[in-house]
Amino acid sequence: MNTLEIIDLKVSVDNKEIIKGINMKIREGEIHTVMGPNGSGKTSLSLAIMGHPKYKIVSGKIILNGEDITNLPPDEKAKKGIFLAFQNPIEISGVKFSALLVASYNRIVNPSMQPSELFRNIREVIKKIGISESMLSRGIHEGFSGGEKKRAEVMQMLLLKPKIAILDEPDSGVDVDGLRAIGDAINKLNAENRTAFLIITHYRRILEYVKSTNVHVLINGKIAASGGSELAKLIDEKGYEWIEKMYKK
Amino acid sequence: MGIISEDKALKVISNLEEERERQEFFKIFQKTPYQRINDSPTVKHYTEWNEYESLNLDLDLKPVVDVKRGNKIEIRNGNLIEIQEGVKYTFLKASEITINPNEHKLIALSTSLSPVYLKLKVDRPTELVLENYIDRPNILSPSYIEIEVLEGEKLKILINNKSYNSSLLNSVIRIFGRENSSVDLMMINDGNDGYYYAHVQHDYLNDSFSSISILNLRSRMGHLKYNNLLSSKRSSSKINVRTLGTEQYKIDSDINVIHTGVESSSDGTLKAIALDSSLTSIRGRAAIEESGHDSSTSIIGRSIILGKDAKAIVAPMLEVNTGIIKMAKHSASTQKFTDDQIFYLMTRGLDFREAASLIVREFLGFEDEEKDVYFKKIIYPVLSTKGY
Amino acid sequence: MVDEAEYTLDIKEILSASVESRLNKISLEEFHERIVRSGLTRSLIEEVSKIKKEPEWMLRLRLKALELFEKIPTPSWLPEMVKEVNLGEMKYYVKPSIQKTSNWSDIPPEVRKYYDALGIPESEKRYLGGLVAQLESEPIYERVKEELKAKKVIMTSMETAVQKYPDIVKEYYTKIFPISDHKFAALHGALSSGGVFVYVPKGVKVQAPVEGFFFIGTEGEGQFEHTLLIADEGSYIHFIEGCAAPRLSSSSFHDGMVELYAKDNSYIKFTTVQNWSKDVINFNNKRAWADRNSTVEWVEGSLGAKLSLVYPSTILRGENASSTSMVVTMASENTWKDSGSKMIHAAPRTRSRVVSKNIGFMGGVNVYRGLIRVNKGAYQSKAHVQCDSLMLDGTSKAHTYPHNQVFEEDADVAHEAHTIRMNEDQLFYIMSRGLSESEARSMLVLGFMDEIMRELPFEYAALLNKVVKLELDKMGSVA
Repeated sequence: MNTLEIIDLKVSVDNKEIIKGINMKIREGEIHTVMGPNGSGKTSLSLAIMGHPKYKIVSGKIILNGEDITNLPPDEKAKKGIFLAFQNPIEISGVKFSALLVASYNRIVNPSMQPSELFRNIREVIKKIGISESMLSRGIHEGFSGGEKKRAEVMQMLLLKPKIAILDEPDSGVDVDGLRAIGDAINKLNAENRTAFLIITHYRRILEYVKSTNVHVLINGKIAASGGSELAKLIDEKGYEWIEKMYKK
Repeated sequence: MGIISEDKALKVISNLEEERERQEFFKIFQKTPYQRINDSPTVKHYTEWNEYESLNLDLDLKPVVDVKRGNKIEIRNGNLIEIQEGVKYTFLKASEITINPNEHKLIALSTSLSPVYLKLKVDRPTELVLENYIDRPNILSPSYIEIEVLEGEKLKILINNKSYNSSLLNSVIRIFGRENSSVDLMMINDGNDGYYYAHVQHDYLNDSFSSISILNLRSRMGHLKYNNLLSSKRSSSKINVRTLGTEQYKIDSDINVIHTGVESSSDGTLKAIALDSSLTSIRGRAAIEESGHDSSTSIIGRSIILGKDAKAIVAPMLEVNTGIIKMAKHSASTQKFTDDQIFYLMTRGLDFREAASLIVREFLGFEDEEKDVYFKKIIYPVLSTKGY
Repeated sequence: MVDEAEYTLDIKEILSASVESRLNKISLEEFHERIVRSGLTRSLIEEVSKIKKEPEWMLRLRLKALELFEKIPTPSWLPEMVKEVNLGEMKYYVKPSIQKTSNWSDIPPEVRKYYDALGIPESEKRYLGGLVAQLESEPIYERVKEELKAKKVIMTSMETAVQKYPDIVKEYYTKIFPISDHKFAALHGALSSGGVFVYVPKGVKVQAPVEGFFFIGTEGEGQFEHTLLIADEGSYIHFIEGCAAPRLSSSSFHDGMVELYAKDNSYIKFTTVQNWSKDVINFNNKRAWADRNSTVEWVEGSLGAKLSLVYPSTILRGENASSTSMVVTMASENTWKDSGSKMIHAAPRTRSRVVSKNIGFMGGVNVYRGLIRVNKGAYQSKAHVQCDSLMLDGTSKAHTYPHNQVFEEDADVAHEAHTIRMNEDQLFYIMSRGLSESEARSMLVLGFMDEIMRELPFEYAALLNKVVKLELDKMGSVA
């Protein structure tokens, strides 16, 4: 049973503490959602878990299946089955998308798959997520619209079948069709692969397509509240300020 | 001293046909300076012509006798050895050559010493391979070739220019396409630890198209001048030039696209990687003249510097001489890959070294699959020795 | 009263000879002879220096400059058109503070009409029109003068500075922009007269922008004016030179120089707005040194003159120094605008940004010549150049010649150039909202220039907007 544990995590950026002690346990098959106002530290959390050099883990641990992976470099975390879909993926114009997919697949899933079979898999996956094949020969995220970027990130997730997938705002800047495709992808991976999810969302549109088992509200670098899907409804009705007030008590 | 001494040259010329005309060409070579105008505000010339001046080379040229037919066109040390089966060819007279020796000192050199002025006529869809190489040190290998592609025809040609340690490969080529023709040119200028000077003039008539893919590497001083003359209506070109600078090599690419034809278009991507203490230079002039209205041009120049002593020059020039254009733009940049880019690739399972390698290896890639595969076969082994 | 010595120099001959000596078409001896014939001789220089009562070092510098002018080859980029400008003889004023016209009727009617259309105050009209040598007191200028005096900022004519502050002038004069740099910098060195000297003491921040044009009066003018501005450590100044309204010049050839020195932690913003009358050739040599943590911002608006060559440049000598250069040029009928910037990154973590906006119509030519050079060791430096040319009709021309020379691995240099024609769809859209074609066109052009206009003080931007509109009106409708 795959489990990602975040224990008392404190993270600082540019000498400023952004994450002030977070605890979370994400088990196989669960879909966790993290919400919160802008600046609460949601993206920082995702980047810190993945090992971005600018995000210094000051104290605390990240444990995957009993193994302490807190200070591993990002590629090793990826190889151990953690995937991050970025909120604002960076453009790498010199490198063809297809080249990245092949390199990534070889390292994370299967180093000895035949290119022809691999490309068959890739084509299936891009069809499912709704992006055109021409994107494969373009530079990574080069000239992609906001929605295309999100789809391209989720497409990689489908291809790499991670144990734990962290999605940073997969629903922002995406149209209705894209949202449905992304929602389907999440549900499919969750059902077939038992992938556990940590979905960061601001507007919660993704929750129209995906049922969240655990909801957390992040305010000012700390989890102010945790609960089930009713918590999400509560936020919809009462807003973050109400939660904040409750939290301050 | 000079590239070649007068004595050596005149001696060889006396054994070739049209001695008088060749002597005239040699005189032009002697009196023409390498470059009349400074390239730039600070660095005087982007090609260090002094490197050629210090050579003092020999010649290994023989008058052409019997050229055998085979599966390629082969020129060894300047001598035409083989012509591809099925290709129509003639040898031009000195008065018939269409590139003006006055255009550059080294064009004059080539026209004075090239044993033949080879003219190929493409009258049906053709695939050509030209192996133009040197296999001895310290010699000058001049060659002059014109290729005419007749109306409506297609030419696919691979030119392998390969020099040799301390030798100078001096290649002058003109490709001329008639109406509705198309040319797919692939060229490799491999200094092979020697020198090269390659001059390619490429012009065509109405509604013609060409795709040009060039790779430059390994030369102590390599100069490529590519002139694409879009002088007729709806002519267009897609240009891809890649330079891999290693060791202390200096490689200069001067890519010019001149639009004098209405509704012509050009689209170019010029890239270079400078490793070790090499110098790569990507430059050229894209011009839309008054007569070339309703045209469009877009040229991108990019380089990556990976080496404490490596240097990169990117100087694309854009001249627009009419207000009636579709589009005219260019961009140039020199960047190292960013931490964020490396991080992204690492989150996809590549370690630091692999991520850097991927960016570097892919940087010089081509959009077209066939060319991508072909050129990478040459680029990858060189990059591997550098740890990428 | 001042000696108003004036000499006649055949500038046309000087320029012709320069163009012809390009590519070695005439010998050095022939060039020298023609220069002497034009009136530019050693004895002229000596006399000039004597009248100005200059110290020995200044005379030596001028003579050396004359030598260099004759020796240095003409730059290949000097446009042929230089020969075609109607120059004739030029009066070279040793002391420029003279009245140029004696009554209104001396001012050409188009110029008077312009002033009326622009709505500038009477006193300014008189000053701009050359009726008075000094701007009659206006209260706002007085206030700025007070602030400068209180903060011990030195601002005086170059001539006075050479006498009163010789040490500091000698230390920097033509060191920032060496006269050996090119032929016309040398010519400037030989004949410089007029100009402004500014020194801002350590830590002093001058709040209001200082308009040199109005302060120094025509004493600061001159065909070869030289401005030297030194901002000592931690200081701040925004200096404005020139004026948007068309100026009557006593001369058709200008070869000025501006040298700026921003010491550690200081800030200099240098704005020039130029609208010389149509038959003027304007050369301006501009360069700045930026030391550690300092900032130099160049803002250049070139509307007038027939041929203008201006390249504001900065040498980023100190770590973390930064510089920006914003240049807008407008080239109309028979006009050639040659501009650009050089940014030399000679220290780590330096940054530069160049924005060049060129507008061409009725056959005007805009040329951008730029250089970004990152020296080895200037690690983590960033440079960005954006060069946009807007062609309002079919006859305009735009040339872009950028050079990016990077000798440092850890550097980030990017350049982008777009040459676009007036967008008919946009024009149509605005017209469909009730604006006439020329109003719509003005709106689009001003929008194109907006990024740079924002750098100017409000009154300047407003005046500049009006001038641009008046210029564009000459266009008539686009076919």
